[in-house]
Amino acid sequence: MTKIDRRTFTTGMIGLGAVSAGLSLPAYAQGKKPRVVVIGGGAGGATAARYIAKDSKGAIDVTLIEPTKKYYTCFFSNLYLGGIHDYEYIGHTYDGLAANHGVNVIHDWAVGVDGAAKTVELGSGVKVGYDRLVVAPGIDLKYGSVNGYSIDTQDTMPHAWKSGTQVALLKSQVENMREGGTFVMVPPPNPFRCPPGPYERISMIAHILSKTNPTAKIIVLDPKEKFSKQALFTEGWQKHYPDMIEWIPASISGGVKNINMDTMEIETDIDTFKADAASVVPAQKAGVICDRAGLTDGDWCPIVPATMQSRADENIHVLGDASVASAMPKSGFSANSHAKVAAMAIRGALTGSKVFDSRFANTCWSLIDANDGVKVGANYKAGAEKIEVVDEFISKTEEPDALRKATYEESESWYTAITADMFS
Amino acid sequence: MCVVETMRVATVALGYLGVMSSVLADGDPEYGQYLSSECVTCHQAAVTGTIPSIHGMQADGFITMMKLYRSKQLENRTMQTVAGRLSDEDIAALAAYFSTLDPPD
Repeated sequence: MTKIDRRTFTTGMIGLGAVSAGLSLPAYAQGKKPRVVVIGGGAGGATAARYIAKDSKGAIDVTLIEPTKKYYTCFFSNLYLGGIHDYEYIGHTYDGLAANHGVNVIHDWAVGVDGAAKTVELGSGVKVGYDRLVVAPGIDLKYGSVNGYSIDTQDTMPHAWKSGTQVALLKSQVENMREGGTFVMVPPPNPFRCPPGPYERISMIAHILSKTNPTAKIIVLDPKEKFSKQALFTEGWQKHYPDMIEWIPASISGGVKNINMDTMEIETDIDTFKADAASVVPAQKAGVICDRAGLTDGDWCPIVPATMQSRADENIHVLGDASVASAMPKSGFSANSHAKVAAMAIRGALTGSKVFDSRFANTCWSLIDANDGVKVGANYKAGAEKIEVVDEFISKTEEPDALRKATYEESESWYTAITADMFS
Repeated sequence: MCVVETMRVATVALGYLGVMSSVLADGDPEYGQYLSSECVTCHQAAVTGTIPSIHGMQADGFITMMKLYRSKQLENRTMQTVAGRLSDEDIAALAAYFSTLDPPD
């Protein structure tokens, strides 16, 4: 794996300083190799790094900063929970980006951004210079949004909303529930990563319990009154898991008032629910580096739709869940789509390559039971102020089994394809 | 025959075997490469499960397929939505680009 060392950074920094008088010129016009730094190696960041490196054919130095050596995708983590795939199926390394495209992969945290000096500070203390910066850190959790829930006790009721070991922990807790026990799911309020995700998670946990613990119950204490693909999930739950799942919106429960992590009790206005296992997903915000870089307005980062440039700093592009992408849901597919638009804009700015009208797309597949897949999707354009829907579709209720199976198989094929599009 | 099977058969018939009469695409491959970044989120160089590869597909077959999706004569809601906003120029550019790539092994 290619890594850049302190000396490389230093040389770069001197180079930047020496030509500071010419900073208004694009890097390619100054005759030096432009540098792009990408913070975050998920669907947005990995795709951006890959496309900038691949399509610039070595004309741009690309550095990817990502703390984990193996990335476990959030998308399809529910299928791991449901026993459809094993844990390693959703894990991916960065070896391909380094070996195939010459991306410098640094496994460290980005802890600060100096927009004026155009540097990113790493946890190690090293500063990396850039001409353009891509910020794609995904989400952070607002632990205080649920009374009684905290980062210290999160493993008792895993949010498992960043994939990885928390999902493995949640799976173990579900599998070890007592016979006839109660699983409680507390979905997050809008806006949040993967709108159908909590409901696919409920489906996949029901899928497991219906086989191993069929008298178990699932209580969903939702802070919302409606949710993504609601008609499809509701129909599917009645079909596959009759009497197992009870969805209770905030208008009925009054919302979660407090959680006692010691007794596993979740208090609402109508009742206190005693959980044998639970998943609590708090409210969300852009990854913390966005605040530190001064990119947020409230919890998320406003962007210029045509290029995904930050409204706060034109040298920084914000992708994926952290951005305010308006009509586009916070999904891996969306982040991948943002990355391609940003990569084109960045190559155009740094190397003078052609730039075309920006287009975005998203499809979110969800699995309700084995071979019962549904999907929602849309394509989008860059309006002056917002990303706008061009056309959209959603699966219908009462579709034939063969179509649902084909939709599920399509999702499996998509997973293989998009992870190759990110990491290969 | 299910939608996916229909698509695969059509892909082979129209694309690789060149059954349709030859229609030369004069699309811009560079524009096609940009547009193709949306396609390859699902259609990689190698076949992945039920989603066919479109790499190396002959231009005339590609154009015919995309117009059939655009007019909703071929099923698959995702493909109908993808094709729905493509102009003739867009489709020609994509066809020109994908026809330059190596087909899957």
